[in-house]
Amino acid sequence: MKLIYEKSKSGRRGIGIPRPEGLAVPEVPEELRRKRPPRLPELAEPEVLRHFTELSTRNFGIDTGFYPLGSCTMKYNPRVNERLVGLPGFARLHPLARIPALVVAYVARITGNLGAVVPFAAIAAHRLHFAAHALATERLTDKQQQQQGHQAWCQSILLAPGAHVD
Amino acid sequence: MSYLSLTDADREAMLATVGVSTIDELFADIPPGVRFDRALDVPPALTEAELQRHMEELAAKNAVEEICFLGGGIYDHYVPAVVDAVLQRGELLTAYTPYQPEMSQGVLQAIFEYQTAICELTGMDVSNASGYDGTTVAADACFVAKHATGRSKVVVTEATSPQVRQVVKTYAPGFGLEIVEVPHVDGATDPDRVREAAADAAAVIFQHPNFFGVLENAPELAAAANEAEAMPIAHVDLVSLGVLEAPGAYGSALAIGEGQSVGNAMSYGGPHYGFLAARNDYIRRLPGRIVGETVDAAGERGYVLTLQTREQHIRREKATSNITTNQTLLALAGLVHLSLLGPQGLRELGETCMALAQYAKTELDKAGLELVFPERTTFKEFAVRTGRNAREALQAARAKGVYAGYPLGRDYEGLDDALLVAFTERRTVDEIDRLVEALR
Repeated sequence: MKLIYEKSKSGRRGIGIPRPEGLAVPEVPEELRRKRPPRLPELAEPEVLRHFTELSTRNFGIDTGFYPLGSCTMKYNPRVNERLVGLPGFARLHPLARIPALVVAYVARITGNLGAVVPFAAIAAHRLHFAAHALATERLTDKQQQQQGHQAWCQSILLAPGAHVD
Repeated sequence: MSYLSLTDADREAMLATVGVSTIDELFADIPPGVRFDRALDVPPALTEAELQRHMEELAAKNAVEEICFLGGGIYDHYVPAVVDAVLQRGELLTAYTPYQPEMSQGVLQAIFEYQTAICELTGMDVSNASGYDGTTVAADACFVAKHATGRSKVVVTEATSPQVRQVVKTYAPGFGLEIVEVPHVDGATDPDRVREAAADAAAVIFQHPNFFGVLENAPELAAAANEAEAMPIAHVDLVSLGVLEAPGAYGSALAIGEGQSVGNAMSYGGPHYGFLAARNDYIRRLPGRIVGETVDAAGERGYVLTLQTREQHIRREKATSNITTNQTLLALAGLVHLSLLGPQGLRELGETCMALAQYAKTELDKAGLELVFPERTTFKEFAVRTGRNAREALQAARAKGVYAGYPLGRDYEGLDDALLVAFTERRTVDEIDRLVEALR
């Protein structure tokens, strides 16, 4: 199968960009200006869609069949989740916006439910990934060790790989 | 909703086969003291229709109808419909990490094409398969630089995103790194001060355009680092690379950044993807997965994970990469968007953002609002003085349906009256007029 770059033809366009009428584009200083355009593929929209659809047919996933591999999260993710996270009320929230009360309430609800499974005094829901949990735990235990000595630090923190409960 | 295919009859048949009468008997070896012996105290499961309604109600209460001028690293760019169509292909959406190339050629080729696009945009020789986000790739880059140079000081410009600096500082103790910040001068970084700070440093991280949206003198910053034999690390915005020079063309050793701008919704901060690309000299120290092209037994072209001796499952404590997963699906979204844009589209995207930002500068000026750094050239965002506490100005603007920007006083002294205001191709002249009206 060809690479997308091998399907490229100079001058083809996949998507248009709004060009506000009458507005001038400011000059970029010569020494900062791009000299050679990046060789990104040039294709029409249906060609892009066909390329990636063809790629998908050369792949195996949970939707294709059973994947008996347990080290990571080869479990079924409910399809409705994809639709729900795409709701504009979630997808269009900027992270630097003042935290909407609803997000806080929802995180509280999730952690409350997790608390029923893992009964700890407090549960933090990270937005990032397991590596961030691991680092945070390492830093927490380090701090606690400094403050309380070796005896206390190992008793209280449980790590859950985020991928399994994402 | 049920995600389990087993019926009671199936379970009984399985229990009979293994010779036990109840499922609880399977757990008999677990001492009673550590066995969970009660019902979970969680609300009953909702049906899908009820869940959809519940989530729609929550989503509707988030104020996303406000016109968004927030930026600072995450931007309200348009995500084409084709991106969603591709991401919903189940074979890609539900794929595992491509350990078995025989059944993962689709994803492997996609990653190879993504890496190629990142190299083209940044002017670098090699890209990894993506990192977690624009902050963690900066920490990863520090680790590369420490090992490559044997030095443990990292210089970061103060005009680099506060989130990026914070994550670098969080990782620093574990890496044995000392972090030194170089202050900005009127919104940009002085190459001489970088040269001074870079003595004995492993790397210099600078953002370009920087957190204030200002174009740094990137070639001189990179040269200052190179003169001190510190690795220049450019933190860049992919959307800018149709109009701004590639970091590889002005001597950067590594190019990193946040990929959200291309292909991904803002989604309150994640999940997104980071990119990390390097000159060939650093290929064996690069963190994350790398996909390479090869030929199979029949002479057919194929793709595989390559240079895996860097990785923790091969080299344990000597590994230079401890990232076994990455943000493949989100990086794929970036690749699809870039494939739709092409070189011309990417350039026009950058130009439209710049044109709208320039219009906003002019109109704000007419309305009597001052730019914080009026002498500086900016890309798609800039800092403006609101004439009062910026948080108050923000509240007043929100009452008029405009989310006017980010109060810079949160991160920088002396800027309590300043907002960082961002412009994407999704903004219009009318919306900018409303912004000006709301801040007036």
